[in-house]
Amino acid sequence: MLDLAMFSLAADMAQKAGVESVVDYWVRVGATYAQRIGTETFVGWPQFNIATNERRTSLTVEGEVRVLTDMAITDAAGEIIGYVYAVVEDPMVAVYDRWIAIMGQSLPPIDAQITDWFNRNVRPTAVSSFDPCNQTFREEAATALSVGGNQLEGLHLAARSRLGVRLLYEPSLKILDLEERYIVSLLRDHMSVYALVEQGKIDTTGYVKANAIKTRSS
Amino acid sequence: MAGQEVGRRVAARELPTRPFVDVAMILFLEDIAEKQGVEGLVEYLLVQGATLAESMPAEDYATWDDFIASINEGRSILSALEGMEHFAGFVLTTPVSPFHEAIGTYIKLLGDLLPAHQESVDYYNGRVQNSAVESMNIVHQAFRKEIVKRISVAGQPVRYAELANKGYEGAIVMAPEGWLEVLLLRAQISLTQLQMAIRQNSSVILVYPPGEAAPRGAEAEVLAPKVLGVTAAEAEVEVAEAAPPAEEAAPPANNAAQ
Repeated sequence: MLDLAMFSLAADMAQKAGVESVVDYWVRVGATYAQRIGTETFVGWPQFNIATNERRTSLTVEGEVRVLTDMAITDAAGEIIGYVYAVVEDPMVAVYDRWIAIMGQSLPPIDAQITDWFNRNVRPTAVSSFDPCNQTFREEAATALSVGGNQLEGLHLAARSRLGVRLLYEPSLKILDLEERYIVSLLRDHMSVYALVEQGKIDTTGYVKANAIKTRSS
Repeated sequence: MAGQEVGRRVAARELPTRPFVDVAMILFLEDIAEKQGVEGLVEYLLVQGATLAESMPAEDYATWDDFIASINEGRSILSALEGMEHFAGFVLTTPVSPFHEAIGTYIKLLGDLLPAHQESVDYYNGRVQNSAVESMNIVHQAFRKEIVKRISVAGQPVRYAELANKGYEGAIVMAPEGWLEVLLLRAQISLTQLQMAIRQNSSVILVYPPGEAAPRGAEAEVLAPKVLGVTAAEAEVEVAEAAPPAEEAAPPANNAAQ
């Protein structure tokens, strides 16, 4: 019930304080969620990837995440500094399905209003109104992970909506030198794709974090 | 549809929920409490439940039996979100609270619920209606209060009251003693039966059709002077909607569901 009630809460809040306020709340919730789960440490990438497959990491709380071991990210010396990961199902798909089946109507306008606001004012990566929270959660949870003694950071790469809209985030594809067609092919069987890399090993200039709204409004 | 067998028709109430989203929603509510205080949180919960109910289409049943069948099969808007069952008399039960999976996941992932939840329960029980055992009951009861207005049997809207609720940790809140006797008469069950019902379920409510034979005079006599300070006729309507606050305090001015 809470999941469906989120739309009425968001609509009420948007009416009182604007859509930006709802996005701000969601971004803050994503950060709090990750921070309260806490830090996790793994001996090396193989151990972390096994834990991911077994859904034992903070990042697998949202659902099944597949490790794409053929997508190792290396530094100039050829050392592995990260991998690409793919989320099988966006958590909001179940919510949307339930709304339509139980409420017997299309999604409330506030859902698209939040999504559009985030895409226009923060970065064009959201395919649902929950993405400001979800994508912030992943980025914050990534910084609380360490692999082989190195703290990680998460880079959002792409997402596919329930209705099939694909949004690829160009800055991160460029930073990691990933081919667009490969990421597009991943979106056939997955709904979100992101990379985890060791902090400080790559230049992330140009990458806008999902919580950028927080920086701007504070 | 991802996660489901393609082509298989799935009943609405069988569609999977995502505790990840529900936990985020609980955090969202905690953030509201931090920014706007417990009063602000309760207001949002009340509006949230009421607005959700108002989004649902109205229902009309030819007979009471049709309505009960719809409840049991999860087709009614009253039971679509929580798998209700008919217990006895005019009593409906919810075996498992629709919020307990989320609360359990929250506790597993993040630890104890923040104090804001209990504070909101205390505020609600004291200022609005003495019937909540956990904060989610507030949105739930606001939802029920509005949703029953959208259900009619033979053209007459049904009425409802909370009888008992059991929280995730097992604590039980029953309708206040002064009201319980009247509500049980209306429900056509005994106190023992109510205790049986709440032992096995998360929530027990009274839902009844207007005009159903019941000791109305006695009901109004009990209610009017002790609790509501209204006429007997008004009391009869009120009993279907709310138990009294624990404290005799005025409802908050910003309570949109009142």
